[in-house]
Amino acid sequence: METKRYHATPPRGTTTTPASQPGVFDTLIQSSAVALFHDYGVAAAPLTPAFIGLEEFHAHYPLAVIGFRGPGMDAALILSIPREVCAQVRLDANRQLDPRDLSRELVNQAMGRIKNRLTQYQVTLKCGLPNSAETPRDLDRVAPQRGPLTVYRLRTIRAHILVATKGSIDPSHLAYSTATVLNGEGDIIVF
Amino acid sequence: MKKVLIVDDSEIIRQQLSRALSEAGLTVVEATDGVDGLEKVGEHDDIALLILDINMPRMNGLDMLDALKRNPRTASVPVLVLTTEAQNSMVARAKQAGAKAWLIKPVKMDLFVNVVQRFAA
Repeated sequence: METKRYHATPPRGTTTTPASQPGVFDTLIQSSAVALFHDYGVAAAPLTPAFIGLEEFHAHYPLAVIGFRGPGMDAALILSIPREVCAQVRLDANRQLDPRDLSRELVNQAMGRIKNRLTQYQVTLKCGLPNSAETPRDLDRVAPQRGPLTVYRLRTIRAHILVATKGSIDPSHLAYSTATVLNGEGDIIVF
Repeated sequence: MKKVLIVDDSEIIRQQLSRALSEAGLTVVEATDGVDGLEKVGEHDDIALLILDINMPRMNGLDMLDALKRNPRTASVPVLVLTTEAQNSMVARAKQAGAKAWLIKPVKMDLFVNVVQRFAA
């Protein structure tokens, strides 16, 4: 049976480019997070990434955390959504939303976007299930101990959303190619 | 009314889908993972369609899909996969296992309801 693909974004031509320069992974994370919040009705703009220590990481708890591994990567993606921004997230749900569940679902969807975009860089990630961290000690438990903490702040009209990675990420494994047919968020593939 | 089973570990997603499908006149049953989903399938013998997440604790969606297709009682129930996963290898595996469609989160609710109504008919 023929498979029908309804792409939210059109496929592009075929080129392959090494993408080992610093900043590619930062851009992937920022663009994935901005697009995710846009899809849920929250306008967000990325600010310059910061490399900081955990002691300087002033996040809104509970955090949502999801681990990922791949070539040159053993890290966790962390999402901190202030209460004011949680209230702005547009969801058609008829029961009261648990901010923990909302954060876990959004970090899961952010991870899905990053994982999907990385397939164009010939990298396949294995991801865990999303967790909540209630305190900094919890964060130590669910995120890798080694490797830097990189914090990406997204400015919204109400407050800053924090997206962070903790662990080792080596961008030298990334090689961009549009030969990979990329399915996008919102696509419906009927078999 | 047609009965739809939503299997997803995210309560937010279950709420969102449940509301949209209920408003479209469908009856909704919810399960939190693959194990719970198979139990719900056992409890309800009139499920017209399943909506299945992939990454879930205890039993993932692809394993649940395989279990459904192995059981003659549930093999013909249409299954739609709704997930953050977008990799072609996983899409191909679901197609081979007998899923009817693969939807990548987040999907527009009106499109989602149209696809559900089409396959639940």
